[in-house]
Amino acid sequence: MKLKQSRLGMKLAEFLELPLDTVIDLPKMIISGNQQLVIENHRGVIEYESSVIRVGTKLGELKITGAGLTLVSVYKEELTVTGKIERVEMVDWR
Amino acid sequence: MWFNRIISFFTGYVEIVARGAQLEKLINLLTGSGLFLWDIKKIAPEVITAKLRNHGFLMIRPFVRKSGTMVKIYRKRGWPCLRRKIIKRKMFWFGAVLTVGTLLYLSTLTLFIKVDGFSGAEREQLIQTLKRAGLKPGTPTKELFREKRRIERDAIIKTPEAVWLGINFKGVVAEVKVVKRKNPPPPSSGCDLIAERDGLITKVAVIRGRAVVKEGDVVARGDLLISGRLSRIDPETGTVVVENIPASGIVEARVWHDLEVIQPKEVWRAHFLNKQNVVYSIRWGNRTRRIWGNVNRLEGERVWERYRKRIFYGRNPDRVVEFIKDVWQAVRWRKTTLSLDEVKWEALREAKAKQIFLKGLVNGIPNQTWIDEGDFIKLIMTFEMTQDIAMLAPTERRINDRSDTGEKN
Repeated sequence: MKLKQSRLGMKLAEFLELPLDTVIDLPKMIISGNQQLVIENHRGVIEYESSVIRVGTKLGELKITGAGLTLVSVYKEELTVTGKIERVEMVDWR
Repeated sequence: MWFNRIISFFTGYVEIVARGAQLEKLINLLTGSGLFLWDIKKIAPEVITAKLRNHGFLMIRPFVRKSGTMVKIYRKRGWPCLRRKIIKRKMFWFGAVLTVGTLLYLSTLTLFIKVDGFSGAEREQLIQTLKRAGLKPGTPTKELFREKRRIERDAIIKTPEAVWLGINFKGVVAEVKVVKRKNPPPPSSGCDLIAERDGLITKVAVIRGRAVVKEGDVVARGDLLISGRLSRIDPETGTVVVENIPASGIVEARVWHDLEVIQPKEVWRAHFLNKQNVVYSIRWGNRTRRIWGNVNRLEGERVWERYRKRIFYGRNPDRVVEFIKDVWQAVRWRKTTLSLDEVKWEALREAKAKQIFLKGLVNGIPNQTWIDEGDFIKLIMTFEMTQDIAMLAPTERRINDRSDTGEKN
């Protein structure tokens, strides 16, 4: 049912040319160089180490690898990671 | 994010240390409940530090229990904590008040003088001149602001290299802008130096040309002082060659300047009746608002005087705030014949006001001459000054003038 709703929402957003992250809560990532990563619409922190951070999203898991990673701020909807980001992987995304 | 941090500083926050296997669960539970966590750092395996607002910390107990972690306050931060710490420190407050007081006091002074337009020795000389005129570091700006025009005038008189000088006060800096005098290039054709006015020569210094006058000579306006016509014998041909060169030099002379004041013997004077009307008002920029008193209370002949008290000196002199006291007094005008002493005193007072422009230029005490002209008394004050009276005049024109009048110089 949920899948159907999201597909319908996606089609509607495409038809109306609305941003997907606002209509169907798709995760939005903003990377500033290799220093900062802002993730919007996350579903919580799965793992937190100074070299790896795994964040849950609606579509799957986001794995951030690097050195000296810090969670600078964590809100319900937004999460900011700083440090030396080396790799951002989308694990098991639908 | 910075906004949140500033708010957190004022509301107060704590630095917590959390230990346990499910630290991520704790983070998710706290953020899921709407709490704001920041600066989360992993300092050891299963140990993190994070920052949390004071009111948030009071709500975390169920989440800590649910996640099976242990949370401790590492440090209390923010304004409420800082206030508690410093409120008992008397010396700190004394120092703070002293520092703020000193800063406030220093901000009322002019501490630096910035000269724009002059450089090198000229700049140093101008700074010395300004210092003598009253503009020196450490002087209250308010005082300098009142004396601004006088300082500008004194400095421009004593700085012949400048053609214009203006002072602008910006905070603790007095910006002095000077426009340097640009002397015209020396004339290429022949020129003489002639007397600009009558005088008694005290000093002759020739740079180019031939001196025609010497010290002690009395000259009239237009007399030749330094000639630009030089004659020499050509060694090859043996003939006399006349050269016209631009004469240059300084010819100082004692000159006299007359200041005339005419004072009537009969004047109209106001005799004050015991009726006066006082109106108080406040002016703020261009707006004036009456506070107390009625303007149209007095009728008939009256004189008006205005007293001002500035209560706020802004940087813009047009935007000041001041109290104004207007006094209207009922008077009766009467024609009064003044005594001779009174007339003389009035004339001297007027002459004194006029001679302020000659301050610093006059030698000795001026000579006074009183002339009775019926209804008026005329005072002629003769000031003696020493000045350079040399003035450029083209040689060719002077030769033509001499040939027309038959003058031989």
